[in-house]
Amino acid sequence: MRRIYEKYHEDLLRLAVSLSGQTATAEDVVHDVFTSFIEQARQFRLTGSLRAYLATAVAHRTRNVRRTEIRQQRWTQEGERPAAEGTARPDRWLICSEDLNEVVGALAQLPNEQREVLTLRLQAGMKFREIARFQDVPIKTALSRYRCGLTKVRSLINGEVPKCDR
Amino acid sequence: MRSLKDTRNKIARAKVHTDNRANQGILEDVLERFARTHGIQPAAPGPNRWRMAMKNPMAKLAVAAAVIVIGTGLITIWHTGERAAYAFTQTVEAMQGKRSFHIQTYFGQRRKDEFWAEFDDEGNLIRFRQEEDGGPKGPLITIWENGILNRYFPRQNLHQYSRLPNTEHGIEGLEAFDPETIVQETHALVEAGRAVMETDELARYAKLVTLRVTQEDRELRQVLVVDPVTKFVVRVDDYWGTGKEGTIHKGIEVLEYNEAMDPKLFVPDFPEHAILMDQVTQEVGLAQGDMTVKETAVEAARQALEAWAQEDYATAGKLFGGMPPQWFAARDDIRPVRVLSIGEAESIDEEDRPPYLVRCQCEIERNGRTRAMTLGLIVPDVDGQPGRWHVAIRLYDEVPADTEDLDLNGADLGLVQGQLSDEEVATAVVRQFWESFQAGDYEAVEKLVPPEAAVRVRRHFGVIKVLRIASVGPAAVMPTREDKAMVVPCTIEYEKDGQGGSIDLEALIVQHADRWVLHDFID
Repeated sequence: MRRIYEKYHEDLLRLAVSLSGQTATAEDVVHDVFTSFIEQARQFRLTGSLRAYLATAVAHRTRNVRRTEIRQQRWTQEGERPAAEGTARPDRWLICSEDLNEVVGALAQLPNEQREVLTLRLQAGMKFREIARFQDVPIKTALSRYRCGLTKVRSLINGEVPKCDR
Repeated sequence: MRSLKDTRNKIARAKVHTDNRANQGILEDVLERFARTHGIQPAAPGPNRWRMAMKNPMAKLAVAAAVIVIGTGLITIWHTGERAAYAFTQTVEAMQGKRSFHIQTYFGQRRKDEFWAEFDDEGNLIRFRQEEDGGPKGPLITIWENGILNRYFPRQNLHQYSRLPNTEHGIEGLEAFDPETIVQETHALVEAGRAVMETDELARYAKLVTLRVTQEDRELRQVLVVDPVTKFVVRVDDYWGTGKEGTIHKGIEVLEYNEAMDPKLFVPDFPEHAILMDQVTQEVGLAQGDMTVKETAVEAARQALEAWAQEDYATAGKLFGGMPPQWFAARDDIRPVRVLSIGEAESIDEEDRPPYLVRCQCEIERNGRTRAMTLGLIVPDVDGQPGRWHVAIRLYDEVPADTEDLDLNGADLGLVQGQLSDEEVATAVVRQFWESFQAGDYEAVEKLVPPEAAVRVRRHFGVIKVLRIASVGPAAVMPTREDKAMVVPCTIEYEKDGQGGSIDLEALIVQHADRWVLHDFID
């Protein structure tokens, strides 16, 4: 377990922050993924790569968190974040590099689907077929999202890019 | 300026750093949960003693080694465990043990039909009930038992009562929804190498197995969800097409297997005042005898219209498939007073097979005026009465009213035919209508419809927002009195009051000189 943790935790954190755009969310997501992974271990059957499995779990959980955030936003006044969300945590686990700050800022401006394809492909090393299955779309759609997303990120990085962890 | 390759590298190589102390705390938490989950006691019962022990590098190493050994062992167990042994053939076999099912079908996100079916020990159908959405023609309830089919059309308040034996091919309509049939067909395709099946990795919390089947030659993706305990398939989703036209989704969800069903479900308890189209207790239609099918169709149409014109409802009723007099009374405004001509039997599909359509010119009286009208009669065979054919009005609801009275006053309405075929121009009118509507260009919308229809269009469609034109066409010819007319089916996805929906419509496109206008929507 330790080896699994040590081998993958940084990659998963990077993936989570790229998908969520929030370091606090990314930390929670990766922590949850590891704890769920061991708690549900007996029901788990590994048929492919463990890396892809964990990356998919991170992507799923990030989606859920985002949905919850959207629901919370609907409950609060327009544009107002839920109180706990903006609170800075003193025990910061994850620190983004300058490059990652820039990348996360650009990725945040993409539609979710494109952001997922780009990060799962480039940061988690998943195959397009695996990504297409995860998104439940044809492989051509995944490829097209990848191309489109990459072009947009390039434009954003070449121009003005918002910073990570706003 | 960065190239795409640079951008790719930047995303792939961007690094995170983790705080060592936080890292260690989280790892300890994860390991502790791991030990607790799998019944492994930490080296010491209390957290303080655990931490003290963990300060010893040897102890740390020993625990780490134990964790790795246990972890590896567990992964091996997962691989060889019971769930890994699941095979699709188990589902094929298990499905043969089904004795009843209750299913819900979906089209896209919309609930469509609901079925209840019971089978005997040999797997033969005993009885079923189907409640159909029915689309633009309205809902439909079907009940079948002992070779008798009851169909109730609530919108028309019509109860069709006919014979339908359960042949070896199964009852049409049920076959496509029977999960057992679907499983068998999928298995046969996979076995023949015409489809590829993949089993999804089981998520740690998953209680169901997901199988993905791809048929490249049909552009069909199928997702089957199986209960690994009963081995029954509990959900099937078909996704057709991948191109620009988008994907069509049809789904079946099994709500119950082998549950006792309420016998009342199979009782045709329709309203007493429903119009009964009785094809069971009486012989209906016209016997073919020595005639060909086409000759029979023409003769049945002639006899039916003549009997109706003479108000001989007993004869007309049998030729119209068992309709009672009250059915004719409700259609008195189109009762022919004289039959002018009976056309030839026309094929309605490319393969020239029955049922055939017979166009008949009749005189009718309406509002004191005698008018000529074309009625299209379709002539199908009678269910459960071999060799007999009855007529039905194909175009009754679709006959346009007074299209010859339309006065365009030289207005620049509709689309000019140009080099387009009738079908092409009619489809173009409908597509342009919805595209203009979607774009909010109501001026363009109103240029496609007659002036008096513009108000109706605004009233009906002004409250919706068109989200997507799901389909338009193909156009089909509609015989009318003088003008050329086409019917163009279309499906529109819309939003109204924040709620999404989809509607199937049939647009009536009529030619006036060299222009075609959208005369009306039939439903």
